[in-house]
Amino acid sequence: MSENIAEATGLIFDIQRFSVHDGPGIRTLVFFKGCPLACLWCSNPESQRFQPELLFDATKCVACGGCAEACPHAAASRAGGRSAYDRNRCVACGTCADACPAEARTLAGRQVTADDVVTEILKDAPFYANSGGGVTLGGGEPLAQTEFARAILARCRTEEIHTAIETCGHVAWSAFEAVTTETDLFLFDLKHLDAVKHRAQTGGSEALVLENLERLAGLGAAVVVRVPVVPGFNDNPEDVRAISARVARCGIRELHLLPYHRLGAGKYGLLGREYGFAGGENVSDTRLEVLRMAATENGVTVRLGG
Amino acid sequence: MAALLAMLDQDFAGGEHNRLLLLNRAPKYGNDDGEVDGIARALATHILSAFKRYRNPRGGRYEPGLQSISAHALFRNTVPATPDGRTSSMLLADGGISPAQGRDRRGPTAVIRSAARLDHREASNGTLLNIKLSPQSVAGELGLGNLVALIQTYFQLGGQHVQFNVINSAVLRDAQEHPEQYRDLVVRVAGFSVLFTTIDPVLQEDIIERTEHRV
Repeated sequence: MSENIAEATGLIFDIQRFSVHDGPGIRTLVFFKGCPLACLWCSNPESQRFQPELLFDATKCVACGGCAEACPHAAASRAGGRSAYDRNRCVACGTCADACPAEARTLAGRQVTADDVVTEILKDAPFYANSGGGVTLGGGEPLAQTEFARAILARCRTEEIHTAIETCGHVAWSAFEAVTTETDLFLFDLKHLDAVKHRAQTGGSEALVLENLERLAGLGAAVVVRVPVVPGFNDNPEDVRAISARVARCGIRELHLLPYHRLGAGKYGLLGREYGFAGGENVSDTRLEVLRMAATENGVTVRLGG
Repeated sequence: MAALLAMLDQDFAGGEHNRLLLLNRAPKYGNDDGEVDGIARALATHILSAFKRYRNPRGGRYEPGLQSISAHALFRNTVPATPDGRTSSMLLADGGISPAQGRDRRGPTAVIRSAARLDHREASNGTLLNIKLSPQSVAGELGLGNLVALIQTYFQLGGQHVQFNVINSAVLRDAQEHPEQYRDLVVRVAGFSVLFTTIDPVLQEDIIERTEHRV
């Protein structure tokens, strides 16, 4: 397998340094593009699809016409002093984004090698050493590009960098098997135990997620469960209590409650999409405290936020 | 070059397209880009070493430092447009070796790596680095640990001084007024990737309020 490491490639949309809510210490977070789920509240909509996408921010456009000149597919045009964008013609090649002086156009999603990613990760090595930090793979779903993920993790291991994966758990078990030896910590999302509610708001099966969680815990892997607390979906003591009970049964001792936020809502418009989540209010501090108490009832340590 | 100089002479009048290209496309110091940072290092060395040629009226040496205190605010009006895309009315960079406002887009670790590329030993009167952080990124004991790690690493890499602004709501309000100066002000949340300045005003209000309550 090792001869494949240097050649492994994958699709990512960001590498964020100084990430401090995605595992211990100062970390670099690699955002994989593509996710098997499509949660209605997703704050990284650009992470969902498995291909590059163009984000267009009309508020930054200075109507210079650079994109119109550059676009090989006549998807960008300028008419009446304003820039127009025809998504039907767009193939997300990113030529317009390169031509735009005002950063109104961004291409989300670029194909890179594992080596490229590791080169970037290594830049902050002294910060990881001083803070107990490392690298976290997230996104999107890292385990949907298993070989690429494994290649990055393996190289980080060689460089003695702590490795973590954020996962929705909705992948084949074989994906977990491929990475467990190279992963120091799993940040495992768990959203709801009810099959109907889970499917309605995430598009996926809670059974698959739970099965993977149990097997992973059974291997003795270090797992922290993360629960996005979403208004109208699971933000009540009964659901949170049930989730933490299930987590405790797997032998997992730590759970994070991540309160819903709308910071990503603006990105939907940039993608030409509607933000579909109607539940919309932030979770109040009082409610969060009630949920935290409910979660601790099962002997699980609960942290608020990441 | 002649075209660039002409643009600067005209304070970029009629040249907004090119100004934006210079501002957004030409790489900037503060982003851990070895090539750009190398220019900063060479420039700093050039300036600092010049002082070795001179003596003060009492026959003593000059001890140069890279710190503007607040002179950068004063000099704004006397420094014309610059090739980084700054017009004459825009601020000069603060501190001595801080990246210019809004030009650092890769977070505090990248800023530190850039600043560490200068040769601080040549600045016997010290170097000054300002870094802005959001309260959430250094909150609690764990956050404090991360802050300590930032400082430790900077000093290990050769830095001499760093001071932090942990953003309060007054600064957030200023960021609403002047987003172009705060493009690296990211509210870091678990697993969330934010595009700069995509947060609309209503959500900005929300963040400001949450900052007041939680920190």
